[in-house]
Amino acid sequence: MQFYLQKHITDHYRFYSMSMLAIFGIMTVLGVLMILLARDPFNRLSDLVPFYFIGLFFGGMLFTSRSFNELGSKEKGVDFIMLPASQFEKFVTLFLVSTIGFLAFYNLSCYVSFKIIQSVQLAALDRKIEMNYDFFDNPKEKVYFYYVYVVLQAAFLLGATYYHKYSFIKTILSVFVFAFLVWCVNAFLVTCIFGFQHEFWKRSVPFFMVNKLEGGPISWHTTVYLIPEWLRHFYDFALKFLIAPILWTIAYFRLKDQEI
Amino acid sequence: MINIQSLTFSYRKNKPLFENLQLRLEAGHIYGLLGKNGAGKSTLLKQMAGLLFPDSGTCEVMGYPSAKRQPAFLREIFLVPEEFYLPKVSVKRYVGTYAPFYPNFDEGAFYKYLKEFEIPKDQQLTEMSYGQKKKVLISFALATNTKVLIMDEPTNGLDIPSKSQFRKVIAAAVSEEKCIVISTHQVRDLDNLIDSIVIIDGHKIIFREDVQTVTDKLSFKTVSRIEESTDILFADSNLRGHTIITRNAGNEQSKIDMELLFNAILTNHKPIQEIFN
Repeated sequence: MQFYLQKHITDHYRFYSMSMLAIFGIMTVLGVLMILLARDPFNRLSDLVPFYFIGLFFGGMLFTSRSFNELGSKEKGVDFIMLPASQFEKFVTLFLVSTIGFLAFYNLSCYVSFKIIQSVQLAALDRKIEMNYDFFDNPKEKVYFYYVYVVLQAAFLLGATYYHKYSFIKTILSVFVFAFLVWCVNAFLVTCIFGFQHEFWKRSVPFFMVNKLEGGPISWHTTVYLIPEWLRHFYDFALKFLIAPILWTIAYFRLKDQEI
Repeated sequence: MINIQSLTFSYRKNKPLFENLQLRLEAGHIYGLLGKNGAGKSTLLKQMAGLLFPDSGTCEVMGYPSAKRQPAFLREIFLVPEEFYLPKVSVKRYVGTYAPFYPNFDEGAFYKYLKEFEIPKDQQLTEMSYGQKKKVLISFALATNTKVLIMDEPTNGLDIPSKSQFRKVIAAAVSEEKCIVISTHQVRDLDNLIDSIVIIDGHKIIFREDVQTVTDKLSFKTVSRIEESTDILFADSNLRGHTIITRNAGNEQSKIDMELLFNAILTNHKPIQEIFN
């Protein structure tokens, strides 16, 4: 494991260093410029959190979609496949780099960047940033961002085994196509169950709930049909523990089956 | 060492590149894999290396199914492709990173081969010319001491002195345990190196003989007047006269002309094959 990781880092350290510098630089410079030029201070930490998640999702997916870039070139692909390490070792290395590696770097980078922004704001405007985003004390819903992140990361890792060039764009398109297909199947099933007349297919969250609009012409009321609780628990379980491992497993077998 | 049984493979449906291909290659030989453009030489090498999978049949190398790419298999096979990748690092760093994957890697031999090829040790790989990079890769391939060494057009991009250095280096590296397979268009570059010939054409291996058997059974000559010779199997005219292949009836020893043999087999396969059967 150590050998392949070492080899991977040797081959990619320039790209990783540049990416890290770019991410850290953009975050810090933008924040500092907003304070110095726009004189528009960040009052609360929650003002910065959306930027954190946008960066996390965009950066994480972009980074993950590059995982198997080698397979897009014959020369690099031969080097990648012929290197005497198991396909599992190669997969795990890329998996660790794109998950733990990226998350660790990104969070550390955000932390340092935040400290710099905080110091600059204090020095330039004499205003503190209120620490109102208590993730560790109250992680309830906030942690779902990370569950969704992990599932998307797994989808992009799988996408990287299918598309070796423009993987990021192609995976986004595939995710949209997949989501559209799910929506179509749901619309068809809802129409079969509830009929066509009240456009139930429009007023539903696929495989989760259907809104039935009734009454009129003066007053209307909505009846909400929700999936049973056990199914909701299953969805929750699947989001947390099933979907990502399934996608990772498929990605591993896809990698094993790559031909050059 | 390399055992291919009933291999069928196609890139596109209904257009098979190989059909029921059989080939067995043994250790202790340097095989020259010859064929026309598009005959499937590189594809066959990729099958051996596990880069492509058979549609049907088997391809085993040292008893390992090559398609499984087990680490134990990968540790004992090295492929020098025609187009290859080398990272943006120095020669030393390259060795430091890649060599630990090969348990029998001989660093001393690697630097000896580099010296033979006149490649500076401290240069960045990306600053080298294509030919220099190829020489680094060939040196590395030989130093890994893998039991199977596969080279696809290794002399492409090498200058004239380098080609003779290449022959020297390969000849020195071959041993009873190693099987070297070289695919090439430039058969003259490897005339004195190859000891067994494999010719691929029309989805099949049409000729597979060792050089000694070929020279025992065939005679290669240059004559000024073609009419003076009898029993000619193939003739090619050039400025010096006519180079011909005849049946070696008198047990004379002649030097094999690989290019002539290749052309002869492609154009006049049947009578030549009958001599070897």
